[in-house]
Amino acid sequence: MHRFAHCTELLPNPPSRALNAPRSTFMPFSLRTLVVAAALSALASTVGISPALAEGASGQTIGLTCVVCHGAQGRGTKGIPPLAGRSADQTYAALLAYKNGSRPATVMDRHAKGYSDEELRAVSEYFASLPAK
Amino acid sequence: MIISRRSFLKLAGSAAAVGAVSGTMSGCATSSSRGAGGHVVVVGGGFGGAACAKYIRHFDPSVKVTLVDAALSNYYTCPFSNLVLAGDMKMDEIKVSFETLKNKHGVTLVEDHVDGVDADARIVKLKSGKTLSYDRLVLSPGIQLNYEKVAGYSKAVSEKLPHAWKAGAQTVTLRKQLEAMPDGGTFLMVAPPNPYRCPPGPYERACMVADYFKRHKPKSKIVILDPKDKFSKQGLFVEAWDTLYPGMIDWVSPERGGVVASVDAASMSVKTKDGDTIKADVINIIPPMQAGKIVTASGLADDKGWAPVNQRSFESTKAKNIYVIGDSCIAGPVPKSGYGANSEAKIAASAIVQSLNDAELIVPKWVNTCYSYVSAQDAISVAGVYELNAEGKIIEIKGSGGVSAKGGKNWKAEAVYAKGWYEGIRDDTWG
Ligand SMILES: Cc1cc2nc3c(=O)[nH]c(=O)nc-3n(C[C@H](O)[C@H](O)[C@H](O)COP(=O)(O)OP(=O)(O)OC[C@H]3O[C@@H](n4cnc5c(N)ncnc54)[C@H](O)[C@@H]3O)c2cc1C
Repeated sequence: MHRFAHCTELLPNPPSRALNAPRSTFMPFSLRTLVVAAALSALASTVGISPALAEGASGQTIGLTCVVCHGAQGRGTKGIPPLAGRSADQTYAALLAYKNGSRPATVMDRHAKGYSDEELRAVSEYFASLPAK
Repeated sequence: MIISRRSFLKLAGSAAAVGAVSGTMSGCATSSSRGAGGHVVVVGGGFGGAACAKYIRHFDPSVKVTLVDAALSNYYTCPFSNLVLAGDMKMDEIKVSFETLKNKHGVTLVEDHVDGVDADARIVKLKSGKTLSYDRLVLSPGIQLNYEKVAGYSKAVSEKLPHAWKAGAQTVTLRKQLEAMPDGGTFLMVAPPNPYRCPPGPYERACMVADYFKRHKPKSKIVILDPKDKFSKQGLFVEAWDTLYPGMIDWVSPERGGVVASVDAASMSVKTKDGDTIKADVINIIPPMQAGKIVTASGLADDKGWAPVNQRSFESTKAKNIYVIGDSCIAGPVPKSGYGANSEAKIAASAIVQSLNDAELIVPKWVNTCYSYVSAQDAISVAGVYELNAEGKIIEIKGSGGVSAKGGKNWKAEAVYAKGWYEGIRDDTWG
């Protein structure tokens, strides 16, 4: 194991802290996030789960592909709605509806079908943790 | 310790939140200002390289990042350059500034050409004579055009018969030629064979030139000579051609004689393998292409001219500590697009930071959406979501992705989203 494994002990920080955190000019994650997530996937693999296949990508990894259209930090662009600071439940419900085809879409239906429900939940929580515009 | 799938995801989610609370993890050695450091040199400041430079700095500000590009003061995006050709946008509007990468993200900028890589010594050699040493090297040099694969074509001839497949001076040349063309003239495009930068690009270009002709030179014709039997978003493009520009665009498949034997700049004509000679007023040759020259010259390409990479990290399979992203690399079904390059850049950036910190790789996921304009107010799209399979290959996730619905009902909405995409990806990459 690598030397950051002990950081997982610090994880149970309430996610709400992120909302109260000083407004960053950039997305609030860092190397820590990556190594902590990596430590977790390493843990997952030691108990026999293949992280790639069983767990899917993290909310952050997925979220970083959404911002290309939905704007840096999910703040929205002209004509494309913001995601940052929206309630996770609301985003998750929309994504599920895109995925099962019950919500009309131009492109989001094609995207939503590429993720497990857990991944959709994770990315919804990721954007909920970012400051709204 | 047993971690359930549910709690794993929860923990991973709150991990993102932890990163936001600076200064509260005094016991942890991973404070972002105290990472392992190191120096990453990124070659190419386009969609792949700029995003990679920015995200490495973002993931670990202790890493020094130097971005080298020969065209720092005149990088123009290929996306939306077809709208410049149609007269709907100006060159200024597709120009990129690197100031924010320097001022806000602390990326060191060097405007120079990289002439060579010494993978053993971990050094890149610059045209100016300077050298830069690196711990990790990222190559995102885009494409090189294989002019000589088209008989009669060359870099010099391309000044008269532009490719305009790297946005810049040739975009301007082609625009001027289209403006100077008389009504009733012929615009001839030679489309490239697979694989190439921006699969729908040639057909979007045909649409935008047609849109310009329809408004200003309605008697004109467009001929596309194609070595491919089929092309990206074909059904949607053909539908748009028939609806918006009936009779104007003639797409000539290989079966109908679309394979080119040679071009002749003096007589402004193209000879096909079937023996026909087609004269035109404006000729746009998009030649076969391969990985950027620095990739092929450094021995990092396969025999087809593209760079094989570990699909999880984008590290070259031919040299350690060198990562190849963007158009130059082989990324399975992820197309050679700006969106694809941006997506690869973030996976590579995290892999590089993790390798500098001896950490494990994240579970990757890639996304692409390519919007194509079919007129100045209408657009269509193709999308894809990709993951790694158990064999370490990138695959498109079953059921995801695909092209816009037929019938044109979303054309207007997608044109709005295409603009939003452009604003978003520019901000995410260079902002
Ligand atoms: C007409 C057209 C339309 C397109 N439309 C879209 C679209 O709508 N959406 C989309 O997603 N994609 C689109 N693309 C594709 C997109 O432009 C490319 O996929 C993208 O630019 C690839 O990024 P890259 O980083 O690999 O290369 P580039 O963006 O080309 O960047 C490469 C950079 O490397 C520099 N460089 C190369 N070699 C060296 C060296 N040795 N030393 C120093 N610097 C060097 C170059 O100067 C250049 O700035 C389009 C392409 C074309 C041609």
